[in-house]
Amino acid sequence: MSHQHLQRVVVRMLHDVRFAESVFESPKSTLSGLELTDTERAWIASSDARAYRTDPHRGARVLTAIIEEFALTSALLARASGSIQVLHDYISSPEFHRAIQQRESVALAFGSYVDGGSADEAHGGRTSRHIAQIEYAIATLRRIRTLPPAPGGGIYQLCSTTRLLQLPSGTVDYFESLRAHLAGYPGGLVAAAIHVDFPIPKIPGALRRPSQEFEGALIDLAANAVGPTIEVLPPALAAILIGLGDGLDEAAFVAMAQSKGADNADEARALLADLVSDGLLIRGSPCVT
Amino acid sequence: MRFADRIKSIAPLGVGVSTEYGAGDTPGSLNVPAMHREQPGVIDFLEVGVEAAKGLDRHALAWVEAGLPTTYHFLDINLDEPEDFTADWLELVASLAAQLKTAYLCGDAGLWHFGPRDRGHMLLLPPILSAESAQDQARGIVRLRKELGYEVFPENPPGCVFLGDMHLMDYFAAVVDAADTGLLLDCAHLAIYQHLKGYEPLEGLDRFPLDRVVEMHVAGGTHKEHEGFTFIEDDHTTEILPATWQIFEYVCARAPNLKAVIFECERNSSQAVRPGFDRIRATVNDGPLGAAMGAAR
Repeated sequence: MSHQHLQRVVVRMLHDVRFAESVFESPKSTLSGLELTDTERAWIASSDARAYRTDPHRGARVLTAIIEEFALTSALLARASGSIQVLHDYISSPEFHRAIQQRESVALAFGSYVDGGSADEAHGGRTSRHIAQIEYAIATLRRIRTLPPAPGGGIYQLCSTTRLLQLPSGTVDYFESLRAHLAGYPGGLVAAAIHVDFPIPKIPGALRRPSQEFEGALIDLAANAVGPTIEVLPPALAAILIGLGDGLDEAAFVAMAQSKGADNADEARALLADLVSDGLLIRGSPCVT
Repeated sequence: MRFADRIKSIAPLGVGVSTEYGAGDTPGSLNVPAMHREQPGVIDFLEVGVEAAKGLDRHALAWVEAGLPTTYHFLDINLDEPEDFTADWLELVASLAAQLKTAYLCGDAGLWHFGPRDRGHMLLLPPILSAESAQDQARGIVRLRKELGYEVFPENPPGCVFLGDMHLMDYFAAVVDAADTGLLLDCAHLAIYQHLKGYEPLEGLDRFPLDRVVEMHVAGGTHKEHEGFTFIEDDHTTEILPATWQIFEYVCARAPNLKAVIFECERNSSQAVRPGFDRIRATVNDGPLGAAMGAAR
């Protein structure tokens, strides 16, 4: 299968001029760690470097698709740095290249690029990282293919169309106001995101500082056919759903809920029944790919 | 049953035109049903380019509802990647192929998307021209044929970067031999490759078993230059390059199992495409496909 590894290198070279230059200048170090034969390395070395640059807009096309899903994050990053170069830099980032080489989604890898701080540290602004967490969760939910829960499992867990995030208090409010603001731009979300001179709502001071208070945000892609819903949960419920982790059986759920404030086991069981009835929790062994 | 026997059950389709989702709604594009109605004898069938997730547009559906023949050209499967054969994709393709009543499936045996099918991942690159890659392509073709129950004919893709130690035609000879199938020879794509590599237009065709050629594509292209690097852009204009005509006319006269020829010109007016169709038709009529069409009538 090394021809597939080679082809992924070609894809990376076609999208990232800097990487292509590096391959031709220092092939040994640039391509180290890849499953390529010496013959395949020679094929690249003997190819025409100019052929990789005949379509200079490839990277921008990929980036446009990513900004469509990460419009708010992109807008914040561009405003923080005063330029959209920070977005273009993603195409040369380790996250982008790793995603292609490992056959993964470059949009989800963009979420990691921001969340991991690769973009943020250089350009300041912690808010973009929290907003990116929301957009990343939505992007992840869009890509999940869910099969019906396998019968007989006794584990309670969050429905696979939802994600629970713990964010600094006020993040969801700011997300919603920013989204509404960008959506009002005549050219649409992507155009608004990359137009750095188009002002965006001021980031609340509380979001600019390391946060001491958090909110539980539930993102649900199934609740609304038009798009995802984002709901700030009451703190007690958020604490219980966070305590659920990757799933608990009934006894463990009851114990955990009591440790988070449920008065007694009966109240914890009633809560569990309500959450299942509402479709927020499922029982079984759901198969998610 | 071997290819040589299976191919006998596919009826000759004649000369067709390609389309893809939304192409018919683009201003200035070819109105295929209108041309079929108003200029009978020019277009015999429609080749529908399909991304399974998008489905079929109203023009393709109208063509099918009129009882006219089609072929299914996939735009979203990397045949050499087993991971790409997802159950949901296979299910969608089976449903769409049935809806189209397609004669067979065909499409470029290249990289249609990097990574999984995802937003922004789509492109089209040629395969690495190696024996290992040819075997993987063949395995994918056989798998798709078995999964869906249709013949699957790979097409030689276009590109600016061709890596590997095989000539394109030797590579596809290995693919069709290992998969025991036929080839969709895109004459414009082959002209692009021959130009890039500095070969004559017909290089390699003498080594290719022409009885494997089932379908051919003819399309316009434009010579481009970038930093002194010259290449041909596969832009589907009506300006068909001499090398493309040369390849088409050579193979069309010598391919006993040729069933279909497509003029890829859907984004041009009916007036602009007519001379191309007329020349293709005349060439077809002089070869084995023309004889088969005559016999079928």
